[in-house]
Amino acid sequence: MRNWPRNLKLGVGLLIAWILLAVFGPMLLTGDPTTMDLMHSLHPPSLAFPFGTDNLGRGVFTRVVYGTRLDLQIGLFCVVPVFIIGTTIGIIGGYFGGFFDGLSMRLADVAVAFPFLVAVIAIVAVLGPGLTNMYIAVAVVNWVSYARITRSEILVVKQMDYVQAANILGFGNTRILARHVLPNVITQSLIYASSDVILAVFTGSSLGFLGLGAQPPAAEWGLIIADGYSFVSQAPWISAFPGLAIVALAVSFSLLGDGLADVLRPELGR
Amino acid sequence: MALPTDPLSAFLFSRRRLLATTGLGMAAATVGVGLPRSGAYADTPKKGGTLTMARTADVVSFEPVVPTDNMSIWAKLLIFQLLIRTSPGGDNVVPDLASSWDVSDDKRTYTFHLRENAAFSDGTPVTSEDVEFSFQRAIYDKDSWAASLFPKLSMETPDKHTIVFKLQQDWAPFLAAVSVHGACIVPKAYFNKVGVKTFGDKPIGSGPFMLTEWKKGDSCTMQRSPHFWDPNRPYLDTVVLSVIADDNVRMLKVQSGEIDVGTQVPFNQIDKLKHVSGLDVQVATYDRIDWFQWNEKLPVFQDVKIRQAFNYAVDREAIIKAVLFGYGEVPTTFLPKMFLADTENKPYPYDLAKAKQLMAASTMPNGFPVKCKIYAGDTIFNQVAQIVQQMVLPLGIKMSIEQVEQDTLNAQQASADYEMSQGYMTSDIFDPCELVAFAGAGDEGTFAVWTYYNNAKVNTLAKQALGELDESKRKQIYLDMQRQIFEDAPFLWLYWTPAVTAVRDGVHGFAVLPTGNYWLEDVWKS
Repeated sequence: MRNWPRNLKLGVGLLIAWILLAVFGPMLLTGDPTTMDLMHSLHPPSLAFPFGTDNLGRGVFTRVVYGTRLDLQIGLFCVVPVFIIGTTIGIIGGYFGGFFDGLSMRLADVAVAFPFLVAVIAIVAVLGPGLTNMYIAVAVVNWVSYARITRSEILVVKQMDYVQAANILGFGNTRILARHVLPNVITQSLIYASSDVILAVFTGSSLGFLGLGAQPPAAEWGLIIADGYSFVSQAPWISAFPGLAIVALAVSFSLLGDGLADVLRPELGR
Repeated sequence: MALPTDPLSAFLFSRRRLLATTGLGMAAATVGVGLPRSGAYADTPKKGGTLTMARTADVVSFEPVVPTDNMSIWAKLLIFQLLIRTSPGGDNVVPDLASSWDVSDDKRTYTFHLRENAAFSDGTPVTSEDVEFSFQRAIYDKDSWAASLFPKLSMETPDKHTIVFKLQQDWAPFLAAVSVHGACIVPKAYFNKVGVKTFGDKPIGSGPFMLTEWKKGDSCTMQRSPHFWDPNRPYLDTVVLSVIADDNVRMLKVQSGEIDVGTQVPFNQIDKLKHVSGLDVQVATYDRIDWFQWNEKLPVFQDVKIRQAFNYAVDREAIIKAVLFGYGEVPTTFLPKMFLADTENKPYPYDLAKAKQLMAASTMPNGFPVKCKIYAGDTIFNQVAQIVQQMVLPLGIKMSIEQVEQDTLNAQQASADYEMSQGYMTSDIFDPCELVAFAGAGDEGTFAVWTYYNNAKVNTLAKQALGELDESKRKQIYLDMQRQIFEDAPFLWLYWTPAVTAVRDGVHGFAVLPTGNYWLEDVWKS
């Protein structure tokens, strides 16, 4: 750990801080993120309301802190299933080739034929708005990246001498894949995943903003920004603070991704 | 806007502008609509200039009969004339293409005298044949929703400038029906030559302006019609209706002077814009009411106690203050604040104890969950829904909010695929008969806006009012009907809102009418 590059240390540190905030932050707050107080609407930031209040008198600070839970959850649920599915498809397709490979890559072509956000919006529009449907939509579109990354790595790795050697030694496919191939192809996907989390949070926030993701009155950063948008000239704090939170989370994950890349793929290093 | 008898079209498009508002206000009251001709006013109207007006959405089509969205309706009324139109006061009709009309003693024969110098913008004179053709379409076209406004009738055209309507039954709101926007006058020969589709894109009318360029999704440009019946008007050379959907951008542009008129000022910006120099914020009452509605095909909403409990549990004053920044009124009837509306009634007071009592005595004493659909992107209703959600929680009603894309939600309403949803209506004519058929009577095409509220007494009164020629009796019928509907509470009524418009100082004579549209032939720029 001492040898970790600085960006990785920082990224991991910030991520731990975010997780602590998501888990314990709400417990430390007395306010509720959805209870309105119409008497105290549009208050600028003050001691009582560190980030001010929104148009319905809810504390923006409270909402942003609660939002951490939801947005981290979005990051997690959008990436982990997709990572597993995409990587698995990529490994099987890349290693065995044949019909499955052809089929999965043609499906991938179809999935990426549409711009990412357009495809997600279209699917959510059909399934109906809400977070669960958003996770489904992201999974339908986003597995492609992982499958392609893994597959292209595997095409290289399976030609390597050590894999050939394992083959000649008569090892089973499972053993070769799990022990020799996977550890060598997974890093790229892992690094991609850490930056993909940022995109997932962005997607979640964008859909929240459009009314297709989290539904009001949930405290989700994109939704809070959307709520504040109409008041941006009067009460810029409503949108500004959740916006900053998104940026800060993005920086954390991007440091983490960078750091992972430096450690796991030193050949890419600068 | 819109009134729908055709299940989809009406409700559907009308609601494009939910936030809305435009209007006159104090300024407007003094200015009035016919302003320019008052000689006492030092400034005399000046000819020339371009008026740029920013609206929230584009015109769908200039076809006169089919579109029911407000943007299309209000734009087409600039290029077409009606026989007669709703007065600025919103309680009568005034001449438009017809300079005068006679009504027989039995009120079965209406004779309209057309302006002899009226001509379409291509120079062809307007004849009674064009009028007959236009009414044929408005009443009998399969796509027309306005048919239910008219009684059985026949038309006669004794000469080029006279048209006679012979009614086969007593029909009190006939003049109001004639003023409906679907009955605007089109040139028969041109219409038949190009067909409906082309006409919707390249319309020709006898109104003060003619469409010269339409960049879809961006702007409609109209020039003064050289053949308008009044040689002195319109004063403006050009009118540009540009589409600026974003509230913030629209208001910034009117502040910077890039546009002359910014419609639908968001409520939260009214007070701020009132202090901007060079800008006049007009607040005008217009015929609009907003609500939440329930699907009475679901047993729970067939229980009147539950519907009433909702109405008692919601503090409308608080909503108006928080969301509309005070620019709204608590409704006392299901109609907008319009002609014959029951404004004397008492609104549902905010009374949580009473609401709890009603709930306890209802079929669902412990409450229930309900899914409420609102339009995605409607910032006003987004807030209102969240407030209502919290207000009905003490009744055990767990309301969840789902934002649905506008056209989808309209279609879902029309197919009864909802539990609770937002809604609103505005009137196209001064008489309430249109909205009574739309939102009151349960046996008409829209089944009371797809709430499936159906009270035989209301339905009977609605029919009776159409044929009642005695004005005071008719008023009483509508009064009884409104009290009944109000007590039955098929809607959770929210507020009457004004139309709020930001107008640059150099623009004179602009006003939003009770029907939401605007006459621009009296507008001039200094």
